[in-house]
Amino acid sequence: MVTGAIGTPARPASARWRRRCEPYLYILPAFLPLVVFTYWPLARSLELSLFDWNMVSADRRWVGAANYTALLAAADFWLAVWNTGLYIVGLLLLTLVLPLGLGVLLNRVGGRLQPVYKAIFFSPAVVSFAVAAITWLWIFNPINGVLNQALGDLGVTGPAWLNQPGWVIWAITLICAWKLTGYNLVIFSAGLAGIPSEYYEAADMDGASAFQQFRHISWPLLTPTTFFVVVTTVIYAGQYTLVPIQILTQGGPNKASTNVVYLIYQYGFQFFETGRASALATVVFLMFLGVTLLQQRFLERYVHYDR
Amino acid sequence: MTGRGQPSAAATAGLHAVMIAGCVATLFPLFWMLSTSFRMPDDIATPGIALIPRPPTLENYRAAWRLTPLGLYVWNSMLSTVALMSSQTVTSILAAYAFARFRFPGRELLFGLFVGTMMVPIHVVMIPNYILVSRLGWIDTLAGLIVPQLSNAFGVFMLRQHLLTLPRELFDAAAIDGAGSWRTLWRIVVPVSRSPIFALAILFFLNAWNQYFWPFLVLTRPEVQTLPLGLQRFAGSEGGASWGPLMAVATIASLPAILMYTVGQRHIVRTSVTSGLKG
Repeated sequence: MVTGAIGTPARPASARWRRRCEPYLYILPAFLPLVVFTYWPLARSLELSLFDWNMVSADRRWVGAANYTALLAAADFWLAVWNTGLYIVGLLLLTLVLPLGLGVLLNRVGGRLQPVYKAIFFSPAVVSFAVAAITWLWIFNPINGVLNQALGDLGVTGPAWLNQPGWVIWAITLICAWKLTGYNLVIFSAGLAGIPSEYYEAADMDGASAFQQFRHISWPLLTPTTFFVVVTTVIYAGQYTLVPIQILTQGGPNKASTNVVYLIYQYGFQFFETGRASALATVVFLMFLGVTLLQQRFLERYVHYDR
Repeated sequence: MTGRGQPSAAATAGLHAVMIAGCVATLFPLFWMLSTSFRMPDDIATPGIALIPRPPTLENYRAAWRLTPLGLYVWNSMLSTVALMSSQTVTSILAAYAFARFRFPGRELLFGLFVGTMMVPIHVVMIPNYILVSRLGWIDTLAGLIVPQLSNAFGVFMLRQHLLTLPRELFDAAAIDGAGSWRTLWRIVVPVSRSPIFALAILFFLNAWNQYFWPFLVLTRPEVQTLPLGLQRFAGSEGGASWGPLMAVATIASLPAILMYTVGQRHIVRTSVTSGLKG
């Protein structure tokens, strides 16, 4: 209807054929890599999960669901699931309340400084996780790291953040929270800016306090935004903890900081249990599928580029 | 404070105080990285927190250059980043244009398949992809890093959203002038969409520059590694002892990203918030 509507009525068959192929040709360069490196491996992962294989040998043995049953019987797996839950809870605690509070305050800052504050809050998000991990390794250093020195000045003996089983998850969560806070703040701030100012003006006239306004206007109207932030944070906690874990602790000390995604890596690339790693990958995919589906539903609402 | 009406001067001051405190806390780790990178070893080992290096030195940067193949890391990072950014931007433009402009059988299904890939985390497919890339003989080559990521579904998604907002007449006018779809795309659609394309390109730059895990799997030799990998390797080999040179490498690895962010800050915040973060 758009192409071909105008022009000479009688076109040679080859031109019509070309016209029909046109859209597919435009799509192909983007589509091909996704088929080869996302859809095909997804199917292949499912296939590999049914075999006992070490990734290199020619000998590959069909084992049916044995990898899955072995996985569900493994203490490693349940520890990783438990830790994944801790990462999620920790990150939600740190990156839900603080960004929301800051967002409410930020939207009261008028004038030129608001975008400046916003840009600064967001900045950790653009630094590589590898850089963040190594920089925090230095900050967390138990001997002359700045964090424990500052705590020492306050009379508190800081823990050996990354080497102490009870602390390591929180230390890694803190690194992720540092990168995620500004990001969630920007989403909250956009959500808040979308609430019509008449509501607040009316509430002002009724003499509602700032807290009442938050409680009865901002909070309920932010529900979809809050939901989006929660979903994004859960995905983030599930996936992006992998890099700091790999760089800083390798899942230790004594597996205290491992999680499901890191376990896939270990099974696959350290223990060469390709089948079991693939089974775990499939389980992890299903675990997060519900959450990602929710996020996709919200994507349409948030993704639009306006100048 | 009286709601949103007219906050008092004290309330405004309090507000700015909270914001500034938040900003200081946010920037501190980056400041600490930068500050350490200019410190003498004695200065680093001295107990107590001194914010400014005394005296500032470039020795750590020289040491980093001596101790690591820094030039190679920078080169590999730049090469792969430029390749990924260009390829992802161009393939996104082409596909988004097709989805926004044409009607064709299977359009919804194909678009659904694009969106679907955004739900598959890299960790779920990394094993089969690693096997595939190694069978192609691409382990320890930049091809192994680049080829699996030649396109990006989010780019297609975002640009299509934008193109759908363009007035229909824009496409039709070009058709009346006898321009084919290819010419219309490059002479009309792309120029009027400069700013979302720019935003997307910067986002792709940052993702490529910062990415760690896939490169970590496929690039094992220092000659082909990128900066984030080099940083990790250096940290491992030094046992986390020479903080000055380590922070110098970290600073070098962050600078281009921070520079890009400063240039396109307005765009990046908006685009990356909707795309999810990588790296």
